[in-house]
Amino acid sequence: MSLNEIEKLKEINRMATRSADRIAESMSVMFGLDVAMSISSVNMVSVANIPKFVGIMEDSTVVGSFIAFNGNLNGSVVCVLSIKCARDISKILLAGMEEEDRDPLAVLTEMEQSSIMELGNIITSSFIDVWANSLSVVVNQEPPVFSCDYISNIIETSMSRNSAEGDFAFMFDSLMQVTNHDIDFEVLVLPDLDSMQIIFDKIPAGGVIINE
Amino acid sequence: MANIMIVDDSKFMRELLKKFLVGKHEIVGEAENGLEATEKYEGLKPDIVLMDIVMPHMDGITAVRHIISAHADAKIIMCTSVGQDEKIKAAIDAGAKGYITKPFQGPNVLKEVESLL
Repeated sequence: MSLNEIEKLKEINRMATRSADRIAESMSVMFGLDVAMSISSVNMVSVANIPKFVGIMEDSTVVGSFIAFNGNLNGSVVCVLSIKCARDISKILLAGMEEEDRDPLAVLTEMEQSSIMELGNIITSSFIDVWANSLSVVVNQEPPVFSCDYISNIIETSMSRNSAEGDFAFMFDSLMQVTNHDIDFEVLVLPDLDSMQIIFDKIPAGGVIINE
Repeated sequence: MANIMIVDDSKFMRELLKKFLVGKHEIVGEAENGLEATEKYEGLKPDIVLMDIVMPHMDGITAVRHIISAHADAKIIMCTSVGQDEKIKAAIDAGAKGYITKPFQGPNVLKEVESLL
């Protein structure tokens, strides 16, 4: 990776930090919760190596929400978290709205799955909005899709559904602190090949202007 | 008190909106997409529809066009996410009477509903 690309990755991290602030603000307003979100690192990783970089065992089943985006940029945003973290955050979000009949064999109830998809929606719309404003592009998002599978399968499904062919992804190590719970998750932005080029081309040498 | 139909592909969002409205308005029906909403509207004739924009099968804007073409006086409020300005404009052009933007807050939802009564 060249020095120029490293500088641009720093700008992407700055945009992600702004997105994280928006996510925390949205969740605080919508659910009346004390929410803070931070992104500890951003990495550009090859799609094939994502499972190795995610801090979850490769052969573990994880929970994922993926959302395709299209317009000037095409690809998908995948939010991945452990089953424990998914249960923790959905319990908080569902306060008072839990389903009474719980299938003991189900990893997550329908309402829990729906809350995870909405979390994915909030995260994706915050990321996409900051990117669209900062890079002066138009990006639309599709409805979220829930998945509980190996991470490699979730990534594969996400890319095949969007017909996206990209070699690299941006991986944001994220931590959300909701009330007294720490929710670790990964946000993966998987642009297709052309979109990845557009992203790097549109980030000016002096950095992007992030509109508040 | 208004009879309200909630249209959103997210069960979680439908429940959250119901939580805001319960006791003040009557939820007469729900739909998971625009197609289901247009079919249910005929039978339910709700006073107000809360309509998500991004949904599978038929999006909210197309559903507004269908409902308004048959019921010009239908009162539809769009439920949107940030960064959907163009879609909000398209929905208003299609006949929607208002919109609320995420993150939703109970008082804002009630205020928008009551402004159409």
